[in-house]
Amino acid sequence: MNGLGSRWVRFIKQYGPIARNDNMYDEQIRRSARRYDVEPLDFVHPLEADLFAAISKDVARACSIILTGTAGDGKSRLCGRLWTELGGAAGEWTANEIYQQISAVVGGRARTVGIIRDLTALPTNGTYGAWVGKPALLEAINRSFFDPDPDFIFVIAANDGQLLDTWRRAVDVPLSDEGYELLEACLVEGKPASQGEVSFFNLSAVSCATILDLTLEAIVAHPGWTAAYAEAEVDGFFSDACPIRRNYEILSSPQFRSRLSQLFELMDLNELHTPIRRVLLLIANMLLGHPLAKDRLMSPADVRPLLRSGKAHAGDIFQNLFGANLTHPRRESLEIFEFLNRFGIGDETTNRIDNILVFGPSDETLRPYYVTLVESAFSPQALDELSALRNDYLERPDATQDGEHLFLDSLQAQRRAIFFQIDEDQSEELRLWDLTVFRHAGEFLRDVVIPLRQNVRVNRVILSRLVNGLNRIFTGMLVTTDRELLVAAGLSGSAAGLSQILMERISVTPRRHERIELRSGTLPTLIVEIDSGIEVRLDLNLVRYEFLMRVAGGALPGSFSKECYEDILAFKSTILSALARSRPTQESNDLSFRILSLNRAGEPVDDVIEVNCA
Amino acid sequence: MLETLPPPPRNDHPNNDMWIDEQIWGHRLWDTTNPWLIFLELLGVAEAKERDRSLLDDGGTPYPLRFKPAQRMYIRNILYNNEPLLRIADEGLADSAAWEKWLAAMADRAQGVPVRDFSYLRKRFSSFPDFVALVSMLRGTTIENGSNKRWSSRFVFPFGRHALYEDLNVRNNSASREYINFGLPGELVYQMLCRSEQATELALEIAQMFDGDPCDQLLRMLEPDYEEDKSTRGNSYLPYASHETFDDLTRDWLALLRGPLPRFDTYPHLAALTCLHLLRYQLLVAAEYCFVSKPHFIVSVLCPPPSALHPDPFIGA
Repeated sequence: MNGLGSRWVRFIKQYGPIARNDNMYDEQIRRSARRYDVEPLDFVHPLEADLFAAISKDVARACSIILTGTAGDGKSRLCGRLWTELGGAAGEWTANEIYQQISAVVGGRARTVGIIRDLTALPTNGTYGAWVGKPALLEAINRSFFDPDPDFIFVIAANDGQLLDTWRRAVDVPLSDEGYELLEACLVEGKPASQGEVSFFNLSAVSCATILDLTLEAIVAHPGWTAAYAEAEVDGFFSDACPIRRNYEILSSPQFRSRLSQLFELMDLNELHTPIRRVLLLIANMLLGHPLAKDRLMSPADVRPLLRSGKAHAGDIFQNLFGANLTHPRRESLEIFEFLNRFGIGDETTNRIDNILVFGPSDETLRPYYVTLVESAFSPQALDELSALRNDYLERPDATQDGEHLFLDSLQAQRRAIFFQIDEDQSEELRLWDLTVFRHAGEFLRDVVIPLRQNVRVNRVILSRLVNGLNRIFTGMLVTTDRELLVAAGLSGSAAGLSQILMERISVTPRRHERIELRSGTLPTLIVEIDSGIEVRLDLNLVRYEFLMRVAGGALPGSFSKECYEDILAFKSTILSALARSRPTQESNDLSFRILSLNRAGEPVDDVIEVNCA
Repeated sequence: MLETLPPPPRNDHPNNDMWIDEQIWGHRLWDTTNPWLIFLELLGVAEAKERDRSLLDDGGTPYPLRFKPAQRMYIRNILYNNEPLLRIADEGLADSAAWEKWLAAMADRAQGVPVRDFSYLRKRFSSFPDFVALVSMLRGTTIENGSNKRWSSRFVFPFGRHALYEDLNVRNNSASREYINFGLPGELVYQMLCRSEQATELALEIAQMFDGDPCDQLLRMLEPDYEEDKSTRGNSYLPYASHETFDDLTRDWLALLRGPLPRFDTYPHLAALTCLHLLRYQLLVAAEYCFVSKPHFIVSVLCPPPSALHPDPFIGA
């Protein structure tokens, strides 16, 4: 068993969650690809074209480049690609040297380009080109930031936290304060500083949905799989029943890929970034995960014994996706599984879905759903086991000695599979997103994110519900108002739970300069315009959207997320200060209070109480 | 070793034979209190000093700190010694009957006021229900203060000068100073601010905390036009002419008060930060006395965009 297919699968395993995964670092990947004699994975990084443009012959202004991002974002790999792009020989780009330099024509004339593949690993005492010691090198880098036409430019790869730290600590190096200010402006505010020039690439800002699409495409299309089909062994590796083959086929199906891609898009919208390395780890685990295999990941040689013992179906892609093949502590320690498990897929459910799972095989009306959702998702072996469990449960639903009936335990796995089986057309009918914690996630993508991306106005009904949710939080009362924003405060500050003093009503539809609307940005943004040019904005990430929608639907603000609740109160506080600035109260001798209360229809009425100060 | 000011004359604290803690940290860091009470105690001192036109200015004489805090007994009776109010409001009497009944009840019940006459309120509020609604609203802002339910130790939100008054014990219609809620740390904080480098700048900001809010005006309308008798207070003692924590405290106050938050929204933060600096003061002075290095707190800070910046989790005391 040493064909390309088998070697390829063993190579993928190196990306998985194993103690020593060789494919953690770019340097090692190339080594292990040679060892297994397979083509390494390859795809063009979304920022590569911009990066090459920044260092091209005819770039308008030559300047140093910062490549930053979290570990595993692909910084080292991009440095290597730059090296060859600048004309360096691939053989000279070695893993041992952290600093390498090359002469190249950049921005119209020859310059020296120094590439630092990992700023933190750079020893303090070393010789880097013409510079002796790290401080001297840092000084040269600083000069390149502020020289309008530098002879030396640098490409610096560094983790985001350590990048600023290096400059903060370099107090003795000339120009470090200015350099720090420049980098901080780029990293934190994403905009240029008042002086200095640098091309700044933050790889953590790349959408992880894009990364997922690129990596999935590269893995699925790899010639290793064709070879594996050709090498299929009877009752063994890549046979019809082989779990690896099954997982591969599901992974390459458009239905599975688009649902997975939606989950990644939602993680982006929740401001959870996943670097390339962890996406690869996830894919390796999805394909090869099995709770009984060594390292909990299957090798080609494990397939035959697993099939023989009837346990092969435990290596199921729908469970592996959530790290179910791993031990609890291991799963908890891997961020990607923690992110995915935040969706609560498998634990959330509806009566409809559970009825299909329990009564589907025997009920006439539910049967078609059972066939498309469950029978098509599991292997014949797994279905036999499920059917035995279900029959036992229907006859004797009592708890066993060890706790709940085993069938109830199996529901989680079945719901996970169903989540990926329901196609887009059925998603409304079967309330797909009710299988997650984020019941409004589907609506968020379909009715908010996608229209905004296409510059289409968001449906007024959505905006009204968001405003209604805001009003309930702003006032602390169960108001029904959704056509205007009720900006209310407590007497003792804006964060009071019950805010009875009405400060202002802001119209949703444009009125004078007031308006409320949704605009696109990195995240969809709710804009409250108070006066001409005076806007207050709230970034709507997935959690906040879900929160506002649930509050509009009747949930109590304190019951969903304390953090969101505070965020929205802080938003109100910002609106109040903007109002105070743009419409200062006139000095007067009259003392009056607008006190908000509800009428029977849940509409807010404000009574004005006046006090006679004379 | 830190240089301390001379201890106060012995007779100033006749019952305190062992002047030890007091010489190290001051008189006194009272621990059975909470951030809000310290904040209120401090504002009470500041208000009295502002009335004297010597806010955060000790004129070069750090000891003693003498001030005349307000008592505001009419307001406090209306807000907190006023059980009949809601009962009468619920009876649905005609407006003038309701006023009559309530005024009679208060004439009987009010404590610590020179004249038990609240009839001035009638012409200030257009109806009894309006009066009740506004009083209830003000009561809703009472600073939570543990289990203490005694009416003369309850505090309304510090809207302005009419909401600031000292803790009192009222017996047989006469009020005496009470240390249960205001145990002097607020006075120590006042002196810290007073001795900090930016005291003059801070005085301008603090002065704005006393006037202008509608609720402060409303509280003023709850008082008759009269001059209340105030007693002189002050036996606290802060042993250092300057200290880094005094300056840090003032810097934080200035940053918050000059920042973008609505004024009252800064108050919870001012109260919490004040206590943090008191804690730092206590630890730093102690470390200095024991010849040990600065202690550290480990603080975990949530940073909203994950992985953009990782704030330093260690904060030096």
